[in-house]
Amino acid sequence: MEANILLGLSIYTLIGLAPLLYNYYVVTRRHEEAKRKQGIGKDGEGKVDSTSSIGTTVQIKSSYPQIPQFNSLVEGKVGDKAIPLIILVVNPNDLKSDIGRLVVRYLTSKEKLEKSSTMDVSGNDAGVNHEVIGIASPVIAEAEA
Amino acid sequence: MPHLLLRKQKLSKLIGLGFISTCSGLEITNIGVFTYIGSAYGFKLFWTILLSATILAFFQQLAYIVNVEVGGLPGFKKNRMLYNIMLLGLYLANIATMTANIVGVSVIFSSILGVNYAYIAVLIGIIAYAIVVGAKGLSEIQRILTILTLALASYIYLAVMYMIQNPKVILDVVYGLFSFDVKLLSSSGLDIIAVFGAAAAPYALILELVPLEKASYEEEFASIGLGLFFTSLAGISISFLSAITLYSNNVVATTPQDLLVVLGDLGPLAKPLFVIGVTASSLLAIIAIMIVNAYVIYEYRRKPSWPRGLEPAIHSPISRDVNLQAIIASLLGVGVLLYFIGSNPNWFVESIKLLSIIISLAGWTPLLAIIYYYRETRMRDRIVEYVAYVFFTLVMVVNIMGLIYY
Repeated sequence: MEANILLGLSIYTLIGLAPLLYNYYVVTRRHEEAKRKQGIGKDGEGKVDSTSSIGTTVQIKSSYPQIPQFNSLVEGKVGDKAIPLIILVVNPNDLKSDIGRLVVRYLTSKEKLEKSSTMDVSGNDAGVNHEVIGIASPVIAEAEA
Repeated sequence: MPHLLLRKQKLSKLIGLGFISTCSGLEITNIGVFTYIGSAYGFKLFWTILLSATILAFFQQLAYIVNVEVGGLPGFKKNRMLYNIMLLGLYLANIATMTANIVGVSVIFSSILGVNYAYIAVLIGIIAYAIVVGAKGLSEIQRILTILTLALASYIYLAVMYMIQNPKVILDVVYGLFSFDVKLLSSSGLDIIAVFGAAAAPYALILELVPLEKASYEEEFASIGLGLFFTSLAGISISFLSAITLYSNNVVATTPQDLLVVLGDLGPLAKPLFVIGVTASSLLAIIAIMIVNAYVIYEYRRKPSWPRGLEPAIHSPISRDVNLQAIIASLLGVGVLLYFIGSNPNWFVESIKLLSIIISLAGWTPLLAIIYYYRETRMRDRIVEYVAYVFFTLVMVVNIMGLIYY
């Protein structure tokens, strides 16, 4: 009798409750991360718009080689001389690209003012310290368009 | 009294769309199956009710994620073929569910009032149509749906009253909920399949895909969780009432009517409350389906200049036409069933079985679309995805086995 109850509880926990609770955990954690990374101004660099107010169509090219030093850029801060208008961080997992970690690209004033612009994600942006404040993915980009 | 207002606000958010859509899945096919398994197995298969409701809640979570990330049903149009397949399956399942619920409630009222069930079927169709078309807006419909949902508490009330008078039965209930007897699987496999098959509620998933003004995962998931808790309690209560009246007298129920007949043993309130519960369950499902039908057809035909959302869909002339067609189609379905199998003494059971199979076979299409689009969301997680695949496979296996053994 006790064995049946243990088996039943295990099955219900594993098949029933666990997926529900795990999904809740994943969703709330990612939602918090996404909220935290959007539209944050830092170090008096001026007001930084969130990705949703840019109004640009972002087209991301993929198939770039992996660049290990990007790993260190995620934790970095905005340099004193760099004045980014927006920092757009693209998760390559969304793009199915070859880049293993986050890739950064600054948008210039011209790109920001234009109603549509194409942003090339390139390994040449390595070496600049920055802070992640925005996230874009093809889904968001399409929704904005 | 700001703290009371705050509590009222929190409660109204908790009893939101997620709560209603979860509870709307408890309709006549479920009631019939739960009544049957309670009468045939006592408390032993209560765990199937709990598990099937939990799996449905998981899919509702996925549906909400897809809604927030992909933009609801409008976002589904990206893959036109999948969208069309989904709509076709959904519409078929919805009409079958409406037919089943109209039949179920008609038969019950017919036995009480001594009136031909055909007249009651037409009356129920008119009432449901009048509620949906006559409502001033979405908030009024939501209020009506909330009241109908809370009326499901009538089952819970009856079960709790009995348990208070006979507390020894509580342990047996807990044992039935959490005890898994492997030997019972072989003898009751088909009935277990029937419980999981009856849990399919495609329209409940579509309700989670209505475009939102403001998304809140915490609120909606809490609402779904509360709905799961409430629906499980209501479903288990139905099976419990059947177990304590029919199973204990070795009578196996084939219809909710069989249970209604013996409920008088539980007191003068038992029968009226059960009738209220069944009527509310069926009306809730019928109205929810009508809203979903109106919304999906509106969205299908929507031109770029038309506003998005459930509110404009309900107010549009398309809603009136679609709902009228749905009611007529359901009543025609009732007529067809009566014509072909009305002479069979078990026509009600056979009707519900046939309709349940149609619902199960056609109703999985929204699930397919939800899993497909879940893969494109930011919230995509491999473990959740694989669990969804496994559950979907189980749903298909259940459907196929149900078809084979019918």
